[in-house]
Amino acid sequence: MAKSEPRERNYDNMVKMVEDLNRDLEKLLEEMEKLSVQATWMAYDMVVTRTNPDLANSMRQLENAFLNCKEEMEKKWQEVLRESNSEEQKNE
Amino acid sequence: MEKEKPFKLFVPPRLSGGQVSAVKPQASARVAGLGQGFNKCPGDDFNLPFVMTSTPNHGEITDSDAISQQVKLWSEIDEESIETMNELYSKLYKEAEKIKRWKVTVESELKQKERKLQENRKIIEAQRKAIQELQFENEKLSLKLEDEICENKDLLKENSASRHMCNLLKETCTHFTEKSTKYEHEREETKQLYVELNNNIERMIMAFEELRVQAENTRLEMCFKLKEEAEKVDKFEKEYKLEVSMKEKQISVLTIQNGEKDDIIRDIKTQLQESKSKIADLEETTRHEEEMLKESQINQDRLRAELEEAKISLQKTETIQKSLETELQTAVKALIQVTEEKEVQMEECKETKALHASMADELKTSVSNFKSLLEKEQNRLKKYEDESKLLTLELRRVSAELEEMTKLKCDKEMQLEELSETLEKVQGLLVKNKYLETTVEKLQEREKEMKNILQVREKEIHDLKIQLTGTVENKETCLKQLMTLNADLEQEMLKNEQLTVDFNKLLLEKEQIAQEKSYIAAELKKLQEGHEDNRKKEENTRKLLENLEEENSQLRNELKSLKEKMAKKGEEIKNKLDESEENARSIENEISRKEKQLKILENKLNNLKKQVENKSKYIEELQQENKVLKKKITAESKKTSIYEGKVNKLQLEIENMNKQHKEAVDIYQKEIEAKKLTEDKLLEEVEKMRLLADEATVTQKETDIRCQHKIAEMVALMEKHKHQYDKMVEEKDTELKLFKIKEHEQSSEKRSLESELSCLKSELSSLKEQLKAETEKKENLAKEPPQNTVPEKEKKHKKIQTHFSETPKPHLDLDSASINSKKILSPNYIPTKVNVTENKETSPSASAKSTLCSPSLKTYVVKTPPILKLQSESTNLPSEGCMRKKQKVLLQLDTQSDSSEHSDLLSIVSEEEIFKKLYKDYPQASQLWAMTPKKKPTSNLKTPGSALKITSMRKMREAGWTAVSKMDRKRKMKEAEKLFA
Repeated sequence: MAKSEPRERNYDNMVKMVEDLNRDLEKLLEEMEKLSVQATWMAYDMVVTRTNPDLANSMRQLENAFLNCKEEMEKKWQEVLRESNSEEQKNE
Repeated sequence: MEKEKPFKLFVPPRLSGGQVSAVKPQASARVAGLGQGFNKCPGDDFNLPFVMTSTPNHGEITDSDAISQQVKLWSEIDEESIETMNELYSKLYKEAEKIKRWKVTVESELKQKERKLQENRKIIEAQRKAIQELQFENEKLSLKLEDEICENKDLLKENSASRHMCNLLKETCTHFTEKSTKYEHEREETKQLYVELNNNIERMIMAFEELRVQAENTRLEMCFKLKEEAEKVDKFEKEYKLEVSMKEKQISVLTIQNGEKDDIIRDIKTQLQESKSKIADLEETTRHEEEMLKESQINQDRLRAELEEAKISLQKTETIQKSLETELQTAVKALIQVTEEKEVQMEECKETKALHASMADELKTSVSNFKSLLEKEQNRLKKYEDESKLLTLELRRVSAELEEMTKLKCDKEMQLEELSETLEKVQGLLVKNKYLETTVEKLQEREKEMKNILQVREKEIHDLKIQLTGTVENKETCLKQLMTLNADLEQEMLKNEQLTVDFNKLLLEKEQIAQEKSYIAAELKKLQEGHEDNRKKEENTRKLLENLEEENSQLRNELKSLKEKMAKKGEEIKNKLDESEENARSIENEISRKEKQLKILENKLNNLKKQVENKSKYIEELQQENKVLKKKITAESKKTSIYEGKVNKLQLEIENMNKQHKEAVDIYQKEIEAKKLTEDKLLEEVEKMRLLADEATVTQKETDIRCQHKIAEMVALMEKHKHQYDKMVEEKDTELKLFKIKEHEQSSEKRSLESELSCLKSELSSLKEQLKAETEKKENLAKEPPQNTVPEKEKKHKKIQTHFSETPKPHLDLDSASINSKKILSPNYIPTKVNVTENKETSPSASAKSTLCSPSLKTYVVKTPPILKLQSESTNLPSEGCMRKKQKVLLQLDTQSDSSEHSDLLSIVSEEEIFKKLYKDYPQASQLWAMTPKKKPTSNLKTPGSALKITSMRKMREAGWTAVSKMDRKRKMKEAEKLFA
């Protein structure tokens, strides 16, 4: 019988503990929900940024432009050289 | 376990209930004991009631003794008082009726008591069952409580774990939030970077495209330039080709010319060869013609003289030329001077150049004239040649042999003519060359080469001529002279032409110069005139200047004098000024000093005035302040007086307060001391109480332990008591059976007695009849009285014999009973009681036999089955049997509660021993006793078995609960593990 009062106190404490825990858990759940939403947004953003075709397209365009320019430059100089050579040959 | 305490603490009520239940039988047992005690006494008197008090019993016993005595006295008294016999019979009848009534009441009471007992037993059983159920429920509840406590603990642990997890989650949340913020920043940065990258890439693309376009443009431009240059190159090539073709054509033309000339040279060479061949022929002729040559040499000498004359003339002309040249040089110098002096008149010079050009034309005409003169001279040469021809003709005439030579000479002359013609042509060509000198220099060079060749040819020709001269010296010399003369003439002609041209030029220049000189002279004259005018003016001005200078000089002199005077005066004034200035300065200095002193003094004065004013103001202010302060002092003095009063009051109050405070402090101190004392006391009490509490706790623990021990002991006792009660119940059952048997016996005895009574009645009737008859006989035969006593004794014997025949097998008991009944006041009271009890145990076998013969078999049969049933029930339901045994044990314990266990045991042992001792003589009884102990162990064995079963059941239940609880715990633990996993 002597332990009943502490038990009641413990029970009160327990109830308080449980209530606190429930509150904390609810808060944490809300936070977790928010965080999960943020994480999903993050993942979505990451996916969007990673799978953004603009960069790849722009890079391809750049590469194509660069290759075209390079080829043209080389070809044209080669052609110029050939033409000059042919002209020289013709002159010769 | 502490938690088991409450469970064990619930046990005592059970015991208390048992005690309570056990108390009642004590009284009943006592009553029964009393009953037993009285059952032993009656012996023959079977009609004694159980419930009746001792005093009436004794009274009745005395009555019964009286009856027995009466019965014994029957033989003595009956004869004396037959009349009283009837009364006695009636009394006996009444008493028998009373006995019947009592018996009925006793039976009804017995039945009621049995019913009550059964009801009570049922109630007790029900209560026991309820208690057991409650205990089981308690156990279950305690187990549930334990489980729930464990669950609570687990939940607490889970709570703590969840708390920990919550904290961890919070930390992780915070970390995550920080990371998310970082990520957002990075995402924004990345987005910006992406945008920048895209912009850069677009720029790069644009730049690349621009580069490409530029490259294309540059390439196109280069192509265009190349094409243009190629076209230019083609054009140049074409031009150069054209030029080359032109040059080639020129070269071809020149080559053709060269070929022509080569042909000519070849022809000449052929001619030369021919001539050589001819020379070879002519060499011989030349030797012949040497003399002729000598003559020709003389002619040549003449001609040489003439040449020398010509040379002299040439020298003269050269001198003239030199003089002209000197003149020209002078003129040129003059011209240069003139040109240097007057470059402006170059236009006129150009005009003169034009004039010179015209003059050049004229000179050309003169050149043509000279050419004509040259032709004339050539004609002269021809004339000379003609003369030479004439000479040759003369030579021919002179020498016939030289005719052929002359012919050859003619030929050679012809050749020479041709040569001369060629020379003329060459001269023409030279002229042409001179005309074409500006255009084609190469041709000139070639022409020069040709000239050289020609000269070589000429030299060859000269050689040939020399050879000819070798052959024909005169002719050669003449020819040479002619040639030289011709060359000289030509040179002279050329020189003449040049000289004439120069001369004409010089003349024209001279004329121009003369004209210029005239112009210049005119200008000079004009200038001289102007100069003269200027000179005149200058002279005038000079004159004026001189006049002015003179005036100036005069004025300067005056000025000097005046300056000197001024200087003197200035010096004087300066001196005076200096003095005055010095004085003024000294005065000014003094004034300034004094002014400064004045200013200082004024400043001081002003300062002092200001100070005075300030001080006066201060004084006034101070006076005002003094007034104010005085007023204030007065006011404050009043206030101070008031305040002093207040202060005095306050001091009094303070003193009072201090006093009060001191008093209060003292009181408080006293109180504190008292309270300290009380505290100390209380502390001591507390310590005592603590000690007491400790002791109490210790005692509690001890008591707990003791209680536990006691409980254990009590349980053990309970178990023992159970056994004892079982035994007691069995005994009681046996007693009951015995009682029943006794009852039956009594009933049988009653019946026998009734039958005896009936017999007696019949006897009495018969006796009455006999008496009547005898009385009649007595009356009739009053003379024969002693005959009646003997048959009565015989009848008594017969009655006893019938009595024995009716109850043959309970003979033993009845013997003992009869013995006991005969020895009513014997000291074997207790043992007999025991024996009776033991005999009662043995009775069933005997009773069974007796019942067969006894008419009251039905009642006995009806009453016995419950025991069997109970036994069967006990076998079937050990728990109930146990319960009953427990109850019986309790009953037994309650009966012998005053005595100790050992005494009980000893009593049992003693009883057994006594029983053995008693029944040594009676082997059947001993056998029966042996049977009973055998039966007892079975019951005893059954009880431990039942106890073991109960314990096993309990253990099983506990094991089941523990298993269930463990399963629940395992499930919970697994769930918890799953949750935490």
